[in-house]
Amino acid sequence: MKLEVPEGATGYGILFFIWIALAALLAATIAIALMNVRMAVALNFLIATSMALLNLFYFMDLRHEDRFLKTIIFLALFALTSIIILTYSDVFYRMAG
Amino acid sequence: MAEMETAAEFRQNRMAAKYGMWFFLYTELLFFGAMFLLYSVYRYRFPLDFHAGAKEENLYTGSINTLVLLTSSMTLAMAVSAIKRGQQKVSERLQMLTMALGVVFLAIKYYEWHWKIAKGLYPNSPVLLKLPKGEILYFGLYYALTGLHALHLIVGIVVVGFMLRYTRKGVINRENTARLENAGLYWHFVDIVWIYLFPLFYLVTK
Repeated sequence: MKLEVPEGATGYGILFFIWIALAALLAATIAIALMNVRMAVALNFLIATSMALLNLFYFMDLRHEDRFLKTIIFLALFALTSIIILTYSDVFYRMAG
Repeated sequence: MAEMETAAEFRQNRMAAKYGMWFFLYTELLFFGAMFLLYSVYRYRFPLDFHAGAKEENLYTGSINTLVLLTSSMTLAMAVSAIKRGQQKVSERLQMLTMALGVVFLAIKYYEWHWKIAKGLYPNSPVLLKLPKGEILYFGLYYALTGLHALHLIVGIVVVGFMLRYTRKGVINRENTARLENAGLYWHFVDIVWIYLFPLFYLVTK
């Protein structure tokens, strides 16, 4: 009997594949840190963001959500980025002074 | 007509529950985001002290813990998928496995904290107070961030426990998956927080 995957249910195979991808990215980020690669910090955070996106789009199923929710997420990230930029501009200004 | 209205109401309630969970997660994002910002500013001001503090971290246990949490995210996503297919028993087992992996994560974290506390490295300890200001800040942030994360994970385990009970009772079923999906959203968010905590404490200063 062929098992049909209902609408909205992500296949087990896809979820397992995403887990493999996450484990591979984890191994890559550890290797980068241990090998003292140039720009290791930036690479580590780039990999962390890739892992977070895989988690968001597949495990949290954001790819199936409507535009409203995706916009709200963008706004939340925009707010956080703005706070980070403003804080750092203040820190740099004080340290320069 | 009445049946159609009920179906529409059901769909609307489901959407409202999901939106509510996402909005809660936005507040969590800003909460943890502010903590990450605090860490990065102090690390910028005391780079050598943070480097010295990070030498106390065990990359092996940190990596294992990351893999454990990633695996738990997969098992909970599979549990949601299983209930949508009507595979109740499979979903129950996957929820139990998720909780067990959460406990494994906490046990490893307990070992890490225990190891540091045994060395006298805990907030306001005589050993820590003799260290440079940056290292005191590093360990303060380490305990605050990993502690808050662990607290969120404990809440996650309890929530999944309730979802397991609802699944066994049939409250969560093929037609009504919103509660389990929302529990999953929370769990995956806690996983994402750790994905960023791992390089902050275990990799950046290697």
